[in-house]
Amino acid sequence: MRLRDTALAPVLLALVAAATVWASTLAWRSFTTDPGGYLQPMTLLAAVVAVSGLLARTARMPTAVVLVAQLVLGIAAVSLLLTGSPLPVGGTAAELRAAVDTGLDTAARLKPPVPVAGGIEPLLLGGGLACLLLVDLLACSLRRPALAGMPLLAIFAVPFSVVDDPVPWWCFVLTAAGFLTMLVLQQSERVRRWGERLDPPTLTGRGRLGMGAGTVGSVATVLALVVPGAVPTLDVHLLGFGPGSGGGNKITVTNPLVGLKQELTRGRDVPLVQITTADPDPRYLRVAALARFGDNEWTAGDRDVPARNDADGRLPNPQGLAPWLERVEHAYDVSVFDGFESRWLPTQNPITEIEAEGDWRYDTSTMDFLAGDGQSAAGMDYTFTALEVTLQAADLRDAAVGAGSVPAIFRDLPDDFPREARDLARSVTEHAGSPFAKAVALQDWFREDGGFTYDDDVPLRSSPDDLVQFLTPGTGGRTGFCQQFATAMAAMARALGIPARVAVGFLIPDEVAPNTYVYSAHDMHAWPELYFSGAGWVRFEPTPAARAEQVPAYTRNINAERPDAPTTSAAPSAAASSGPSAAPRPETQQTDDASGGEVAGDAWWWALASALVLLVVMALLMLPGRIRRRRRAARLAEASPESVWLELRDTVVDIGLPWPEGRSPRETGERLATYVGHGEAEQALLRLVALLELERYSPRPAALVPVADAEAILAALTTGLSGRTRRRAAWWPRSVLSRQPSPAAVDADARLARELVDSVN
Amino acid sequence: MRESLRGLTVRGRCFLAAGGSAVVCSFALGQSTLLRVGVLLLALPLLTAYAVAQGRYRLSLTRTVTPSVVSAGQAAEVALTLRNDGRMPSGALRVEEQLPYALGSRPRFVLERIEHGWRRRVTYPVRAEVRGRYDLGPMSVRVGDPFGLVELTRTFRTTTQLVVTPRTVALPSVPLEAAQSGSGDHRPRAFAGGSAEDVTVRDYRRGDDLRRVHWRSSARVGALMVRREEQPWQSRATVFLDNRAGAHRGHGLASSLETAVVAAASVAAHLSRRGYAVRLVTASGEEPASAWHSRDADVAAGQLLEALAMVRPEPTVSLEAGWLGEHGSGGVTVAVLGSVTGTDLPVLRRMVHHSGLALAMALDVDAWGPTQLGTGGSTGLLLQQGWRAATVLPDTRIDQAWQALGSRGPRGRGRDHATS
Repeated sequence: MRLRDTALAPVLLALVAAATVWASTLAWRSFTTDPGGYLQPMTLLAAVVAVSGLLARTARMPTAVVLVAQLVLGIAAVSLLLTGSPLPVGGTAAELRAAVDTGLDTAARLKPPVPVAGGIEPLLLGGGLACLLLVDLLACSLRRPALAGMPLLAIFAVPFSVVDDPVPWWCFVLTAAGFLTMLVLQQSERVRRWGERLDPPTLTGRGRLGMGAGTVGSVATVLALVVPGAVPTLDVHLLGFGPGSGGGNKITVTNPLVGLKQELTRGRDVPLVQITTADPDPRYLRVAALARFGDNEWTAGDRDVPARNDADGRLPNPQGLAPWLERVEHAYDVSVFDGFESRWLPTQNPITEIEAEGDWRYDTSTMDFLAGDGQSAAGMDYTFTALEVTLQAADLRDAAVGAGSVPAIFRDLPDDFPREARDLARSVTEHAGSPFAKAVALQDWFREDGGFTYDDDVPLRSSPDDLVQFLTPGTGGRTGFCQQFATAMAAMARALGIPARVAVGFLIPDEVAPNTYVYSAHDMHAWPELYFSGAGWVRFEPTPAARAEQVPAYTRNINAERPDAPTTSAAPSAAASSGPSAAPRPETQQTDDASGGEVAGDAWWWALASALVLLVVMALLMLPGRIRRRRRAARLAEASPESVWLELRDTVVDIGLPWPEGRSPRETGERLATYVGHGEAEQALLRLVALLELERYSPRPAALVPVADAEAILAALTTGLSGRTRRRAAWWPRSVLSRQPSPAAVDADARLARELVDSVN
Repeated sequence: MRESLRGLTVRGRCFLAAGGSAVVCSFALGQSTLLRVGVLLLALPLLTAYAVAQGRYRLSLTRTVTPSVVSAGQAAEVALTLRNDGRMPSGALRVEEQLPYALGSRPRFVLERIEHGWRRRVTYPVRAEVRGRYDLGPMSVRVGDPFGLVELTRTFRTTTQLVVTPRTVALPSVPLEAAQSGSGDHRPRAFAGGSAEDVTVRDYRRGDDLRRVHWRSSARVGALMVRREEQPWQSRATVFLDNRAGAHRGHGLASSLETAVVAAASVAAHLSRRGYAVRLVTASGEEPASAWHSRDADVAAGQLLEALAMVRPEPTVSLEAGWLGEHGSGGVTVAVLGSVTGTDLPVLRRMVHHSGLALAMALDVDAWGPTQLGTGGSTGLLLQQGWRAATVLPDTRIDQAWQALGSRGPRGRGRDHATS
């Protein structure tokens, strides 16, 4: 402690500055294979810079000269370390240049971690030297240690830009400690230069020590360590940009429905996809999800998929899936035949993990897998893990729509959406209570009650009239293939307010060998997926039994009670009644949430939650002002002298003037007269005081205060106030916020706290 | 807390701003390191402000100046006794005494680690070349923190006065016999019988001898009057200083007014020492603090000098003559005059009439002006009016001028009048 009082203070500052830079370079360990390779040379560089700077400053050289001297010596030291010769001329210079080139090449070619020795050592030493010089210049020569934080931050920025790793906590603590020590040293130096120092006679420490530099610094550092862990929103990427996002990732998709039609009506049933899995029910292999319903046509929409969403490894949790639902995972091996020119990867939905080579990315809102660079799935082999979720009708029966938790693209209807379709949807579902019951009613209507026939000769249609024609009984009406059924049901679900999308994929594979299935062209199918809170995206099957024999188990007999034995619930109840090959698998789709992953839908939740929090906070902030205005209105309405007097008192307190407590009305009035000035308001004030005296001291009740009087006084009080005072009085009134907060009392308290007492001899 | 937040230094505010930006950027970029840096930068000034706000020191200050009246050019010593009756403040306290620039640089002290009951006495000298009354203090205290993030300035309230009187020059004793009229100092002089008109009467007071009642006056006034049979006789002197701004040239220490003040102070001190009751009169009239009273000579001289310490150039044009009573008071009048114009002559003439001996030091003020060339001053004019006058130039020694005044001898009406 005493050390910094002596001439050693500059020495200490220079050493601490160099040591801090050295400590911060520990953060570079994360992208190097042999950190010792640069840490040892950095020690030497730090010593060279610190000592040369100290000597030069002791000799009272100008700052520029000090810097040049340090630079020359530092470069010599780097040259010595890299080439063995301190003079970077001639052959040594060429050697040095070669080393730098090697370093650049290594950095460009190799993925981190990279070797230091014989690799990026010149880059690290050069950068380290620059930072050492900068910090020394700022902290020691220019006496601006606070600015020395910039180079230190630059050092920290390297690992998180190279490997996206946070700086280790101990490295952060060391650097922060060094930085704070620099601040304290410089400040105490400044204080020491300020004036003569009166030393305390003894250092017995009788007095209680306040919060010193050590305490404040430690608490701040601990906060810095703890707070990031406690802030959950770190994973929310505001404005859609986040790590790995970049331009040029937009993928425009062609309409897979067209391909579906072509495949279905193509004469030959060519095999397209072969899978190997232990999953007893590999039906409904999805290729793409169509989210946009614009111009009465379903398209996949324009996807903006960041490169970080590469289909390589774990995936975010499915959206909207309640955590208590039972899940079973099945591994899939997929081989795509050469004939299947798809820009999507066929997968089950949902899946938890995928390994696919090449630039395949997933869209967090639909969880389908797109080609990033125009490649096709033809001839690919890949694996994924499907997640089988056991859904019960009982779970879904009362599920809310959850429209707020999905992006608007899943809810939008075109402006010219036919009225007939909407009315039809309402009439079909009018007896159904819950949203899920409505969805099931729609499905049943398409399959059975509506009198639809399956016919895959119907052309692909997209005009509003076509939808109406499909829904209308008569010639050419109520006839179509899976595409019409899926799109019509999805559109009508949206008309009912249920988020919906159309999935395109394969229906039922042929089992060519045990656990090996092949999907062929004629297996192409389309089905709608509807979103329900707690269940996520739920598959429905509106296509008549001529094409799709079974509906999902949870849509049958939706009024059945929940099977209470866990064993039965694990196996879907419908499994027994249908054949093993067609064991209906209750499936739910889609992304998120439950454990707080990072998905686009997640952002919706966060946006909603933050909007809610914001609203609550704003409401709370507006509450005092509101209370105050209500009080004023009530008091002025009552208009008795006491109430007006009370209002006057609150107004005075609000605008920060002292209210004379414990005085008679007259005395108080005299004081108030100094606030309101002369004129009409003063007269009104006198009348009010007279009324108040009557009210208080005379046996009969006083008359009411004229509203004009009260308003004149209040207006006179608030004229000529600064805008700030006025705003504060309106939105953050002291009279509401604190009980009797006489400013005079507050002042007295403040005076008591830190007092300077004059004694006069 | 709010006060200490308001006391954030530039560094503290920059830390807050940088910390806020870092936190926002960390959310945008998803970097926990940046968030850490941001939290550290945000927390430091806030915690520091909190710590400073928690400081419950209670510093008391006692200031004494010895002597409290000094002559210009002499040093006085200021003693400060600082005591901490509260807890130890978190950072160093920097105390600075506010001093007028004329008193030299402001003394600054750093108080570090002052515990409860800490007490320290420090002294510093002050020395002023310019006469006047100076306020020492108030002392300001800057409360800082070890990081330089917060700085509060608080101020004690009391100030201590230091009066710097004009320099005086020891003057030689010159005969001022006209005013003394051969009688000694403070010698009661009995009325020599004489006629009734000579009798001075005053109100009867309890204890007066009935034999001294002056019946004729009592009959006329209607109340008991007694004869004053004796009258204290004082040697009285009036020092007149013309401090009109228009009568002087030059600024500050180099102005003719300063020379005039030094001359007046020297004369006043000299006369006081010789036993005269001296009063000071300036262009605006009699100085209330320095009217004639019978006092101890040193006290009287001190008060005169203090009055002269505060003399400022007056913007008035004419000389105030109200202090000249109905009757001549006799005694010596020493006038220190700047430039004299025709309008001043009546007053100057009355002054001669009212005094037993009228001496004038006439400053040739043009010699203090921009040309620095004397024009002879007003000596001639004054001589015509019946003054004994001596011209004072910037290089004239006051004692020599005084000597010259004394050696010129009594002349003209002054003497006649004084002896009548």
